[in-house]
Amino acid sequence: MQRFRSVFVISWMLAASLLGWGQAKRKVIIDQDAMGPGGTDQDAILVLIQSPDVDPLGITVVTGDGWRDEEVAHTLRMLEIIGRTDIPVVPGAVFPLVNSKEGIEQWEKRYGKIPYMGAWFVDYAGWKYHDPFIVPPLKEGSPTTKPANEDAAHFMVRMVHKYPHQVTIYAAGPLTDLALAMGLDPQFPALTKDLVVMGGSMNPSTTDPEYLHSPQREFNFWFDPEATHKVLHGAWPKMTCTTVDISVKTSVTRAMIDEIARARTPVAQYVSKYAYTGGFMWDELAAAAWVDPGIITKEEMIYMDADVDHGAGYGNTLSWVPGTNPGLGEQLVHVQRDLDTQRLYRLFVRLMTGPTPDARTTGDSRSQTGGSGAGRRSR
Amino acid sequence: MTSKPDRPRLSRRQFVATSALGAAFGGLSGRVGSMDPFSQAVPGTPASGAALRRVIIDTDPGVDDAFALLFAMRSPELKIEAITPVAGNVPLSLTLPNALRMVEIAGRTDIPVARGASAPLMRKLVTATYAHGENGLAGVVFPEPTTKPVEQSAAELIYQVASRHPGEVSIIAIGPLTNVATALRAYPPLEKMIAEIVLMGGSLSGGNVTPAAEFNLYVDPEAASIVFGSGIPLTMVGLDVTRKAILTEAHVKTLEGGSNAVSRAAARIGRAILEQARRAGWTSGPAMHDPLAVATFLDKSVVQLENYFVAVETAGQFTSGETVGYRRAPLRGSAPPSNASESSAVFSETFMPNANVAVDLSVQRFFGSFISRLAGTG
Repeated sequence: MQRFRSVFVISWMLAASLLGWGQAKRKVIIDQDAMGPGGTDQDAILVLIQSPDVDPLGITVVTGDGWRDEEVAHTLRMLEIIGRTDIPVVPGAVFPLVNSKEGIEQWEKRYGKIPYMGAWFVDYAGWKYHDPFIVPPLKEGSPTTKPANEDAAHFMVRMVHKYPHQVTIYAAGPLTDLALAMGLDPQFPALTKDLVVMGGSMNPSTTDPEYLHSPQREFNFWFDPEATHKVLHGAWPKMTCTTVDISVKTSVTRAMIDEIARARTPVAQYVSKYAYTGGFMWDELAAAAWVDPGIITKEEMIYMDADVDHGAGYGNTLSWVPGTNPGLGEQLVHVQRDLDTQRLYRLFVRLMTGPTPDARTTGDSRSQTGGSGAGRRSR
Repeated sequence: MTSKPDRPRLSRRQFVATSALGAAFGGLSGRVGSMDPFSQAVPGTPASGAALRRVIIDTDPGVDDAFALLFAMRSPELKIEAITPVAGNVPLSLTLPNALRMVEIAGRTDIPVARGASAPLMRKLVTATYAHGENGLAGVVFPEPTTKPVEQSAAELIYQVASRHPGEVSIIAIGPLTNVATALRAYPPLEKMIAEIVLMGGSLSGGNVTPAAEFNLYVDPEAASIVFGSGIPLTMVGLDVTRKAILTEAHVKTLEGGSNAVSRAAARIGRAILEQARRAGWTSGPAMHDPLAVATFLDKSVVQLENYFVAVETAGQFTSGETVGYRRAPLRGSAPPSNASESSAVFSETFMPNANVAVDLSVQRFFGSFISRLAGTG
């Protein structure tokens, strides 16, 4: 008995030191245009959930790569599959502040085709357009759990008041929800710990046709330029940005996915089954670099903004090195410039093949009745 | 979520927004004509007994806002579900307590007052202290309010009230439209829940802040473009009519003769604003912009309404916040540049009105109702 106890104490201490015991888990709100199944949006969420020292307070979902309601369904289903239905999924904005699908159709008549427009695509390989509030059948099955009964903006404001200066906002979709939260409470940015954004593009070195002739148009910033402008003028304690310039140095490799597929965990099976091999690790990199800052080998302090003039450059990324910026309230951003790709790949494989922290079930929780955790933190 | 069957609404797909043309456009087939709540039952409210009309007042007090709030609180047809102050005429740090002061003066502290936006959606706040005084009430000092705002944000309260009574709640919006736009974007189902919006703002005949823009639209054009594009039935009470609703010495004398607290408060503000207008040499007396929006909500026949498609300019170098009113199809934007593939700038061949615009008013009927209700004689 005594021996067992000491074994227990030792293993407890080991676990504690691995977790950095004494330090609370790092709190994060994941604001995501969470299309699925799998792919960069869901996999980035998984990077954060799978990290043992991270406490995901909730996933706020905004229209971007897909319409919000479809994304909410994908996210709920993913959480069911991995057994983390305790994490609230909070519906956010369906439409950007000012920009619109119809407005962009007019824009295209003047300035040409937009190569990627997420939920607004009428015609795109493997994509069938549907109206905003329609949820088509999901490949991975329909969720039985429900989203939280609160909107994203108020949820974010409430969380930073509950945990002042402790919450990181990880934003990897259009920034509509964050702009709304700033409007609701001007203290919102200052009450966060920091902001991590995937978005923007300056001069990426790539042959990807999306950037070849419009290098400064990046989807997340472009989809809601007014929100981006507002967020990039916010008084965040720290802003970190993963721009396309560094995204294009990454790739979801076949070898990585094969390795992940060999693990029999629900997460590994989900990730490998729906992987887009050859794609950039857009949102995964932004998440992984927050989990392990050592992935980033070079960063630069740059002022950033979005072009909100309604001309050819509407929604483009604006950027300045200090001393050349106009000084109209734009903020310095930690822009990631280079990375240790092997370190990123190793972390990604390790997290996607590892156990899911705090998983309620080890597999598909479809047998559970709906709403077990939805709205846990809601009023 | 009920949308009344007599109210055809455009879908999002029919909504046209042309940022490339420098403006955002919205459309719906609004109800035409007027409604007189003094003589007939109001659709959407119980037919029996007094048909109280549920309304939220979104406001930036502000001299004429204060008048409008007092006027509304003394209008027995209204069930004021919420007052949501926003930054505008003066900063939120003044509009919020000023709204609470009006609620206390009227003895209506039962009405929840919720803190709204302290800045426009994406622009720097421009105020109008030159017209409203540094304290927003023409310098008239009322005691610090003891009433507190409710815990919810303005956007949240608007949504909560509307979802309790879907299809029954209207908004009288008499400040910059930041709160309403924020609520619409934060709560996508809201646009199908609001019965109608009567707003003070805009102008088809020139602005007051710039030659193009009226103050409320000037302060937050992006918010206005969201509201005009929402598909909610809109009545626009703009400078076209409000600049004819001028407060006079006789009106203030009547208020000074009133015996109730509301009349006395209104008289003090009225006296101060008349003095300010005289001292500053305003070419006309103070206009009662916002009370006219309340009067229009109470009785549409106070104004003459015409159906327009109103586009809000958000891209202008000099003209942002301008309301461009189209009377008929085709709807046409700026001429295309020389390299454009199309020779026509027509963005819609069909006329899709999105607002009933007040183009004329009965000054006497307006002031008759407004002053007598404040003075307690009406």
